[in-house]
Amino acid sequence: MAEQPFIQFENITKTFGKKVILDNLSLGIPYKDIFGVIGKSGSGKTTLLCILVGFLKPDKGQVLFQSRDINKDLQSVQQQFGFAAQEGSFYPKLTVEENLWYFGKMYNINSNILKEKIVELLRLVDLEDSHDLIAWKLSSGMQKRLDIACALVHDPKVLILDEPTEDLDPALRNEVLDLLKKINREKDITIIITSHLLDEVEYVCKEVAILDQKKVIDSGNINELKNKYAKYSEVSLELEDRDYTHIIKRLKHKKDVKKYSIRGNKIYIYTTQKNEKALKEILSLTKKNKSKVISISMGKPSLTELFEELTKKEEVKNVKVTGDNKKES
Amino acid sequence: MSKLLEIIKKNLKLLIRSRSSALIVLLGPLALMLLIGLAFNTSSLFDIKVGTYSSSYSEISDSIVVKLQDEQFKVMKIDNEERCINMIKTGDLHVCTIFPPDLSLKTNDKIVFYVDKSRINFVYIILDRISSKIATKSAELSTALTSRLLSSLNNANAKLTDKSSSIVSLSASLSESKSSLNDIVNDLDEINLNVTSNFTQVHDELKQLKQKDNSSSKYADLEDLIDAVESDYDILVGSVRSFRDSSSSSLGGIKTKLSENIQSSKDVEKTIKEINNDINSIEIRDVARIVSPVTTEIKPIAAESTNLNYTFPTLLVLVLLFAGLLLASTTIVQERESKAYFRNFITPTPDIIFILGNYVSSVFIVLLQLVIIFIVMFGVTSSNISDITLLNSFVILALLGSVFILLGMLIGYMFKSGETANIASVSLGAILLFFSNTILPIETLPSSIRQIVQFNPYIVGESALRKILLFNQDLSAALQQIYILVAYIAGLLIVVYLFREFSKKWLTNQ
Repeated sequence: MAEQPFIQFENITKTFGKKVILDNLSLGIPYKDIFGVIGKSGSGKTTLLCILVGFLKPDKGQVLFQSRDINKDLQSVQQQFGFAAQEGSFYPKLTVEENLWYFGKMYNINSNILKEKIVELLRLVDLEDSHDLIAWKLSSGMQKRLDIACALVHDPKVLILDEPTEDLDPALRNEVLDLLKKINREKDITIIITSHLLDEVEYVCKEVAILDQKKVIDSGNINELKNKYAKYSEVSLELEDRDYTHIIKRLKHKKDVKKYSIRGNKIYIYTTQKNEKALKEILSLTKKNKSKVISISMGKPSLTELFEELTKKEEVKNVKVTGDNKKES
Repeated sequence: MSKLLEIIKKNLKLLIRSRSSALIVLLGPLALMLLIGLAFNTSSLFDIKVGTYSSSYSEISDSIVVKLQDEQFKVMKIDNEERCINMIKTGDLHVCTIFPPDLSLKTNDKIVFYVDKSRINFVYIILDRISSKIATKSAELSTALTSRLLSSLNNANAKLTDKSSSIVSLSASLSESKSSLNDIVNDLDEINLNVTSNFTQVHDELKQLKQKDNSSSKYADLEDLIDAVESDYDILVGSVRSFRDSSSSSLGGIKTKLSENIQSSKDVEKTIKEINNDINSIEIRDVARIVSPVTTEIKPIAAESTNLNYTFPTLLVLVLLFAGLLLASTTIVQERESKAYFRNFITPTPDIIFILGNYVSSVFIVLLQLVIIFIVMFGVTSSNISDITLLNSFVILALLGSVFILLGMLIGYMFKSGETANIASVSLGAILLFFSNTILPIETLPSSIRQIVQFNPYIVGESALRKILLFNQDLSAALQQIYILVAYIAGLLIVVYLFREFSKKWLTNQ
C-alpha cells in the first residue's frame, strides 16, 4: 500500500459564480520538501493555496493534511500552516517585532515562548538590527523576509508562499530563494511555493505540480518529469557580445534544430542531435564569427521548456476535444 | 481574552502612529467643546438685526422701535419697504417690521413682520422675542385705555348716585301734587248743584201774599224781580256746573299725566339704582387685572441654565454619532485594505474576536473623547454633576456609542473603499441627524413616519440622556430606551458578523 502524501488534494472543484477555477483537481504533496506549484496567471494556483489554508472551502472534494480533513478541524490545522501572500501580509505601521508579536498571539503562542521565537526568527530572516523599525520603512526584500517570518512565527509544519519573488529585483529574488532553502534546511518544515518564474522554482524545488486548464497536468520530481517529457537536448550559450543574429541565421537552415529562444543573456537551442555533436556544431559557428564564448552547457531542457511543452499539449488536446464535441453536436 | 487585548493594543498603536488620526481623536473633542462652549454658553440671542419701515412714523411706532432696541436687537430704520424685505434675502436683516403710516390706537392697522421662514428654528425664536417686546408695549397702551375707561365709569356712577335723590324727591313731589289734585277733584265733585229751587215756594208765598193783600200791583215788581233772580240763579248754576264739569275733565287729564310722570320718575329712579348696582357690582377695579385678567408664568422643569447645558445631551449624541460612525468604518476599511487582513483570516482566531477587538478599540477611543468633553464641560464651565448622574450617563453613552460604532463597522464591511465608506458614514449620520429633534421637532413629521423615526437611535439616546443629565433621573426612567439600544446592539452584532463573512468573498474575488 502506497504511503499517504503529507498533504492530499482529492477531487477538488472550486467555482466563483459560473467560472470554474479548479475542476476535479487531485494532487499529493510530500513531507519536508520544497514543492512548487506552477501555472500561468489565473490558472488557480492562489485558489488552491487558499483552499489549503482553509480560507476558501472547495465546492467538491476534500483536502487531507496528515490524513485529516482540514475543514473538519480547521483551527488546529491552521495552527500547522504558515502563509506568506504575494503582496505581504503584515501591518505596515507596526514595527517588525510588533508584527511578529501580534501574529504570534493570534496563533495562541505563550508570551515567554513568543519572545524567544521572535529572537530566533529575526536571526533566521536576518532582521535582528531592524526589529524596532516600522515595517513600511523596510526595503522590499526586508519586507518579504518579515512576511516570511510572520508566517513562521507559530512554528508551522507547512510554509506556503504565493509568488514569493514577485515584484522583487533579481538580487532580492535570490536572497529570498536562498532564505527558503535555509529555512527548509534548518527547520522541520514543508514549503509550498507558487510561481510563474519557473527558473526560480527549478532552483529551489525538488518536486512540482503543473497547473493548467483548471487541473494538475502532472506532478512529481522535476528531473523525472523532464525525462518523461523531454524530446530534445538543450544547449545554452552565452556570448560576450550577446549578439546571436549570425547563429540564428545558421540555425534556421538546420533540420535537427527544433527551436531556439533567447532568455536573459543566453540563447537556448533545442535539437534532436546527440549532445556532443550539437555542441561541436554550435562551437564551430561561434569560431567562424570570432565570437567569444562566456559559457556553454547542454543537458535536458529547463522546467520552463517542459512547462511550455506540456501546457501547449494540453491546449491542443482541449481544442481537439472541443472540435470533436462540435462535430458530435 | 489575550487575543482580544492584542487586537485592541494593535488598533490603538495603529491609530496613534497615524499622527493626524491621533490629533483628531484627542484634539477634536477639545476643539468642538471650545467652539460650542463659546457659542452656546448663554441663554440670549446675539446681534439680531431688525429693520423697520414706515412711510410716517407715529408716536406709537417710534415707541415700539425704542422698545425693540437693546443689546440683543440692532434696529435700523430702512427708507424703503422693498429694500427692507430684500435685506432679509441678502442676510443683512433677520426681520423686517413694517409699521402702517401714522399708527394709532384709533385705527385697525396691523404691524407686519417679514421673516425668512427657511431658517425654521431661528425664525420662531426671533418672533417670540419680538412678540414679547411688542406685547409689553401693547399692555402699556391697554392699561392706559382701560384706566381712562374705568375713571369715566366711576365718575358716572358718582354722578348718578348724586342725582338719584333728586329723582326720588321729584317723584315724591309729583305724588303729593297728584294727591292735592285728587282733593280738588273730590271737592269739585262734592259741589252740589242739584239743590232744589225754592222759587216755586217763593212764588206760592207771593201768591198767597197777593191774595191776602189783593194788591197785585204791589207784588208784580217783586214777582218780576224774583223771576229775574230765578233766571240769574239758573244761569249761575248752569255756569258752575259747566265749570265743574270742564275742571273735572282737565284735572283728570292732569292726574293721568301726573301718574305717568310719577311712573317715569320711578322708572328713572329704578334704572339709576340698577346702574349703580351694576357699577357697584364690578368687583375688579384694578387696571392691571382688567388688562391681563389671567396671569401666566412659564417655569422650566430643569434648573434655568445656558443654551450649552440644554444642548449638552444633543452635543454628546452628535459627537458619538459622527465619531462612532466614522471611526469604526475607517478602522474596518483600513483593516480590510491592510496587507494583514488576509493573514488574520487564516489564523486560528474566531471572527467574533476580531469583531469584538475592533468594537472595543472604537468604544475606547469614543469614550476617551467623551471623557475629554465631560472634563471640559464640567471643569471649564464650573457646572456641577453628581457621581451617580455621571455614571448613569456613561451607561447610556456606552450603549449609544456601541450602536453607532457597530453601524460604522457595518458600513466598513459593506463598502469596498475608504472614500465610499466615509460618504456612507456621513450620509447615514446626516439621515439620523435630520430625522431627530435637532433640526426639526419630530412632531412636524407625519404620524406614520414618526412611528418609525422614534426608534432612531439618535432620538432614543438623546431622550435617555436628557432624562439623566437635565432632569437628574436614574436609569430606571430610561429603561425603555436602554432596551431599544440593547436590541440594536444585539441585532447589529449579528449583521456585522455576517458582513465580515461576506467580506471574505470580496477578498477572494480580489
